[in-house]
Amino acid sequence: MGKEHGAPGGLGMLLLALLAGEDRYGYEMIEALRRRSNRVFDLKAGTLYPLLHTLEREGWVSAYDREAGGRVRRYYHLTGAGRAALEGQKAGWRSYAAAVEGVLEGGLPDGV
Amino acid sequence: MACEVQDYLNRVGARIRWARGRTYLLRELSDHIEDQRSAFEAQGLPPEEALNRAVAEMGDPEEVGDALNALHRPGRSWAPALWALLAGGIGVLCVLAGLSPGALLPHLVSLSLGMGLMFLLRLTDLGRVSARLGRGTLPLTVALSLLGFILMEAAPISARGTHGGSGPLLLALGLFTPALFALALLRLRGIHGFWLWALSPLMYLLAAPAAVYPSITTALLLGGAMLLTASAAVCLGWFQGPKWVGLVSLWAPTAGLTGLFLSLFPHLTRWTAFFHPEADPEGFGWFFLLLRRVLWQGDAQAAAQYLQDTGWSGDPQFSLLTLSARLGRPVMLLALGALLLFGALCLWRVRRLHSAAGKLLAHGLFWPLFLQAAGSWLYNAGLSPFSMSLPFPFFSYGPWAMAADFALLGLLLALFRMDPLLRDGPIPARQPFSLRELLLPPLEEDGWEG
Repeated sequence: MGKEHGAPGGLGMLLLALLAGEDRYGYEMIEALRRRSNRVFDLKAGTLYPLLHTLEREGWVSAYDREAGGRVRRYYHLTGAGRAALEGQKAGWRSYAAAVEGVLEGGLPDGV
Repeated sequence: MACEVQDYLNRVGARIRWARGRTYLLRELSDHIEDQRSAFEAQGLPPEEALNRAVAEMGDPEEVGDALNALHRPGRSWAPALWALLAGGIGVLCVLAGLSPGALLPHLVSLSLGMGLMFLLRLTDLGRVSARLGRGTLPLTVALSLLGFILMEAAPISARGTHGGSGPLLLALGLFTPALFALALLRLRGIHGFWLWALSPLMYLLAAPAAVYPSITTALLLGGAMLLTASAAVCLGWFQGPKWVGLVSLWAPTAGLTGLFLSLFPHLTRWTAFFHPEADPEGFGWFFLLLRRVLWQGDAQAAAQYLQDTGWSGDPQFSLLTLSARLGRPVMLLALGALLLFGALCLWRVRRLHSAAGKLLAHGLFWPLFLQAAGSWLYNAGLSPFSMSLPFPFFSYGPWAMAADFALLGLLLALFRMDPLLRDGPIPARQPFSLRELLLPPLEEDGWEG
């Protein structure tokens, strides 16, 4: 997905949204993203992990190891700062999407 | 592991320069390939094709490696080490210039030993040490403190009235007890802050060998370092419940005991000598009177008298005070500036650490160093009633103390270095605390049999 100049959100916001409900590990996130986006977002692992580690460095997600199904997996957890960032990005995205929609549909009358 | 997977991981790993980070990152990618392969096999693909497709799904190995390499570098913070080396260097210059009574060779040996330990321990992975110790941390902490207590008791008494033999070494090793205490705190994550009063006996036990030496100031500084480390843990949200409950519970036993001690012994000789030295000019008060003339009034005659009458010939460890008597009052001001700057530098760096566990361990390593320096400065400035058995860190020698100080700094640098890989893990699920349920436990509904 090309990144538009000035557009809010992005893959980072989608990953934060995936973690808002529950902690997940990398492969689980790719699967959930593919399923929820109706296969529009089909991330490569090579894209996912650098992005996740960037979010971790920002303090928006934290990682920990947990045993599941006989294997130790690295889970990611949305932090308080990450939740706040997600809310901010969601608000920015909705405003941006409404603006794009307004332009595509011919715009709203002035003052409304 | 199949050749394709190993080849892919090798190509990614070749682009990641940090060896310790490489292991950690490749494990995550390897797990991902395994998950993807299992999913393809579940969809009906033959094992070999499932594996090949799983590897292909990962993306270009060089690009992935470059992206991860750009993100993962060991944390760097050499400023505290440079500060310590500067202090050590000035100490050597003082000895070389004949400004102190210290012998050059022992000073250089202890400085080299300390620096070697610092560089070696900088490579330690304390996160892995903590994980390896696991639940054994708390019993190990108790066992080591008991061992320290027994060994200190067993050390012979020297002519100075303190424990000789291994006593000074054990006293210097005591500087590591706040770090050990911090490791134990890591295992207590998620307990309610109300229970922190129960940490007081552990803190007293860990500080006991220093009190037995006897060095009350060292015991106090170790106890203070542990209290400050546990307070930092409370403020970092390491425990459940309101923070004020944790802080009150943590400080109340020690505050109560201190109050009781002061009310029972309000007229200790040391107090009197410190607050009213003129009342005891031939006893303890003599030292405080002389010291205040040297430092507070800048009396050159008093400085000469100090150098003649005190440790210049007898005590091999030169101090800030002997240096002040030779060079004047700016020595103490410069030392205070260096101490405050070192403290601010370390705390600023600790604050920037990512994981709460890393911050907690860093507090356990920083506070003994800082309080040792502060205690030493206060005593040398005539602002503390108690003498100090440990020197000003990194500066004046005392082989064991200098080695221990540099080792503590090495471990602190190791935390800064490994910060990108340190993880807090999930908060363990615990029963919510309720004072009402503690005092009035609910009746078991099916507890009675007719």
